[in-house]
Amino acid sequence: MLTIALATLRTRWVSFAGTFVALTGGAGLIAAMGLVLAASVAAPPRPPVRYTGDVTVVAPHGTLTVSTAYDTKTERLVDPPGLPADLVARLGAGVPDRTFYAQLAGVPAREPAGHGWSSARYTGYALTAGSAPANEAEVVVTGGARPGDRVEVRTLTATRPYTVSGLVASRGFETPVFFADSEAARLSPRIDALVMTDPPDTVRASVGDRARVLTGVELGELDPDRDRDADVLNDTNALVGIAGGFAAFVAIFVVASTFGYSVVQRRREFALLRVTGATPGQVRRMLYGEAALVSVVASALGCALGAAGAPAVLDWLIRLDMAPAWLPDSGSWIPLAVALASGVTVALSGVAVASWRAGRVRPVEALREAALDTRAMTLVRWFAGLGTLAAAIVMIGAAVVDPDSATSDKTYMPTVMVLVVACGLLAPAVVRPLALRLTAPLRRLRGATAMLVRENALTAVRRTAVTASPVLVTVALTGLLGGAAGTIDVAEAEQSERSMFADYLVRPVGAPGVSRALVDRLTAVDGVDAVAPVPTTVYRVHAGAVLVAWPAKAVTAAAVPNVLDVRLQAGAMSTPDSASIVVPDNWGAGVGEYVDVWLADGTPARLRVTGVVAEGQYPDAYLPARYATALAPLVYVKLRAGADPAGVERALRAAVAGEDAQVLTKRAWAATAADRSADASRIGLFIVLGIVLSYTGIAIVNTLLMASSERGTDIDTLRLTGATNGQVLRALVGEALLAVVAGVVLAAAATTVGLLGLWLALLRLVGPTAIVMPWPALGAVTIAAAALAVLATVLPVWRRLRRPMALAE
Amino acid sequence: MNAVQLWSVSRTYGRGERAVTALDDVSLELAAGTFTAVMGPSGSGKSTLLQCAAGLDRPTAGRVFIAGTDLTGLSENRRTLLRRDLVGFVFQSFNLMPSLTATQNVELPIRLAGRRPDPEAVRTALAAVGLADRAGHRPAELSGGQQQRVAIARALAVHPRVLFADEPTGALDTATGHGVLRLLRDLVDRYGQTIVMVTHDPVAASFADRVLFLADGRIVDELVEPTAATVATRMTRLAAAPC
Ligand SMILES: Nc1ncnc2c1ncn2[C@@H]1O[C@H](COP(=O)(O)OP(=O)(O)O)[C@@H](O)[C@H]1O
Ligand SMILES: [Mg+2]
Repeated sequence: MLTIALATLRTRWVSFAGTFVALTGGAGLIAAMGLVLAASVAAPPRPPVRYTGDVTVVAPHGTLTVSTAYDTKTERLVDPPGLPADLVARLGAGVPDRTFYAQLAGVPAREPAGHGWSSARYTGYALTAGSAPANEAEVVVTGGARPGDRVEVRTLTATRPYTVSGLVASRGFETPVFFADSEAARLSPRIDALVMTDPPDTVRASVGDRARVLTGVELGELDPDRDRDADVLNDTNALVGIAGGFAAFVAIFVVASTFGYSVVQRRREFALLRVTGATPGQVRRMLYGEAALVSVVASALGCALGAAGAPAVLDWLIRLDMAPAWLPDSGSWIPLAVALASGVTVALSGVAVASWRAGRVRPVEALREAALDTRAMTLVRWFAGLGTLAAAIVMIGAAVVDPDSATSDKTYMPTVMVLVVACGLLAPAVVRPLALRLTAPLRRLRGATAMLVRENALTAVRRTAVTASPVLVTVALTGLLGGAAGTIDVAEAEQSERSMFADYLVRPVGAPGVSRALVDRLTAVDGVDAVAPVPTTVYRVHAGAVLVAWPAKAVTAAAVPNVLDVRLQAGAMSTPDSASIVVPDNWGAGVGEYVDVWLADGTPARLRVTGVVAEGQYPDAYLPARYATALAPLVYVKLRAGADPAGVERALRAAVAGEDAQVLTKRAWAATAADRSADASRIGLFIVLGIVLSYTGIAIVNTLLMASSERGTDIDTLRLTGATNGQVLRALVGEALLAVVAGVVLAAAATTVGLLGLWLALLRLVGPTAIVMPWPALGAVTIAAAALAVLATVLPVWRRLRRPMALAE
Repeated sequence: MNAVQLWSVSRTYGRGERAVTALDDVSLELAAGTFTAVMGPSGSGKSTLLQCAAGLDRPTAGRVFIAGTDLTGLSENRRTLLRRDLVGFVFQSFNLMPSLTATQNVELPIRLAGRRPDPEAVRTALAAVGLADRAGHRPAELSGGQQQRVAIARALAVHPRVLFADEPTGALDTATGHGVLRLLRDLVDRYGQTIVMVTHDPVAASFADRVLFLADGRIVDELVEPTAATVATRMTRLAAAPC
């Protein structure tokens, strides 16, 4: 009896440590991800970036306000006009601040911006070399040239030579080119803002409501990368949300299975308690008490670790450009409370299922040498497993019926989780056939290893299944998430290629658009039609009541219908210099009629309708090129009938030579456009997946250590029977590898079902596409899992083998 | 030739003040085909003697020969290989692999030795211990006596030169114990098996050809052709002797 008590105590210590580690890690993961999520969701207003110091800035409202039949509507203008000239004249003393497109030709720039030199001192720039621009032909830049160098500077309308007079240090948020004030005024006459040194109240008094007067934090509203920053923050939220969801899922999965197993391991102890007179209720209460105590302590420790780790994770995301750099760490206690509560809840519910069984342990089991565990699938487990599998299949079916939702994370992620849970629940059912199948070829061999591996796995089904669980999660998540990412990319590429009407695309490299000179050269290439649409907006009162910001394209060519696949149901494209427009059919205007709109800068315009876009297409409006206020982000080139593709391609490449642009075939463009592998959100997801997978890696080691704690007697028996150390190791490593294979097989099943569902949805959405499996990642993850399993088996067995045998007394 | 020989074997556990001398300069020779019982009070060194003689444990001093092979100075792995070929064990707790059936348990040492088990021979071995009808059962499905008989069948499967048994009937009731003892006796008489058995039960010892009495790690007495009564008398005298 003493030995039983001692043996269970030793077993118990390891299983206690095992559950503790699983809980601590799980709570830590939830806490860390929760804190990062809290940081990004509850981000404070961003501090001003561009204007520095104690200044007051007068800026236009940047909105369009229109009275409709019922009330007044206001919309933000995408291209705000400058300050009214009379207001500037009245204020007199301010420094005019201009912002317009300018960049050094051939020098890739992020957020290129041209300014007048006098605004430099208010926006945190100081000369690091050379001098200020002394005349119209001099500029100050941040890099790419040295004082005295001759450079070509691109602006919206032209590329002209300048001399670099000085350098300033980059501030990161833009790549500026500073011109002499007079040159800046020539390039961009409008005044985007006035920097005042007078006290705000004085300024406010003289400005009235004709413009905005901003100081302090409000200056942040004028930051150039404000929208982009908001997008990054949105991406951060989505990314961390998904990651947090998976972290919680994996933590709960691992903790639940570890807890369940620890109760299975302690059957002997419960039987012993029952022998000594404990009622089933007492056994259960003891389990609950223990679980509550362990889970509170372990989860609290996990929270502390998570809180310590969260800033590092956030830093990491920031360094990878996946979160805005100014995002402060979260001081919220809510994620910690959630982590603690999840830890305790999962532990208690894990025990709830297991304790019901523990209470039913019969006292006689204490007297048995070892209980056989051949029928690990209880009726309840069958129900739960098949139920979740059915739920997963229903979810997949729904996604196939409504394929638009299939590729969204909101649909796919829960499906992935439910599938993995189903496979985890059904794991014990596949262990048996798998063990038989895998060892069948070895059956005829005379060695003992195959027999031992097979029989041990078959008689300890739950041990095998619980070891397989973390392997299942690891491999399945890699396969399902990686496979979906690759498959959707390929499908999107296919779809963009199919819907792309043009044969060649010219896109800018290191610049926001293709220069007008290049567009002209491309248009002049023989045998092609080229169109360079510039996205803009027209504002229009719809149905007499709503002010709508309507997407529009300023286009250069009458060839648009041939190149962009825009079909007109009436009329033709406008001529370049006319005050005209091509409207979508739902505007209800006919050819020859006039429509009243506001342009992107809020200027009212009465335009003659020259054409109507047929129903069922993107309802863009098309304006003549004179309304373009930016460079075209993409030039579409279509071969004319009978043109020689090779010759055309050569001519296109020749036209592009020396420009910050490249020529792509339709296919190459589709592939690069859909390739998200360099996307911040994609990289971020995989990084966070990496964090989650390192936790499942710990879980693999953890469950194997727990499992090996019950193998001491087996090892000694084998040695007594004449097994060499090598034979003992081989048998146990074989068992661990069998569990790994079981996990991989289950993961393969989950991945197949999940990706097949995705494929069916894509089939309905875009037609047949290839399923792209992340083989290298899967291979690496599987090998890592197997290596961890071998290591976690060999080390404790090795320690045991170095001890003298514990012989029967 | 002698099946087992011990030359001045000593075994000390621990070091310094806490050292316990479990075997103190023991020499003995056991002839092939004999059944020897080792008796003595609890803690007298019986198990230690058996483990040293069987090559499971390494003596602190002295030499051990099994079937003429000197075990002294062999590596753990070499000793395992030798043990596998030369000796079989039966212990009080049956030390069966719980995951394996009776047949598989019997096959295990053969497979571990890298040989293909002969199904007929395994069946015969199980039949010899009276378990022909339980071949497919796992230990948890067998009674104590049946498990011990599987352990004996397993020990005999490799045809060992010597069978070592440490209180093989210790966990069994009298009737079942008798069955096991008769089986051992039968093996000696019929097949000339050499057996060394540790016991503290005079009745069990009476099945042997010779009884060695151990006290404080030394052989203090010996009895040939024992009966339960003579053994019991010697034991009582031994227990009464001042230490
Ligand atoms: N592993 C060990 N470590 C320390 N002392 C031991 C160990 N094994 C046995 N002993 C001691 O050696 C002596 C002989 O033990 P043992 O051979 O088991 O006696 P028996 O089998 O006759 O009861 C006893 O005093 C025992 O306490
Ligand atoms: Mg003993």
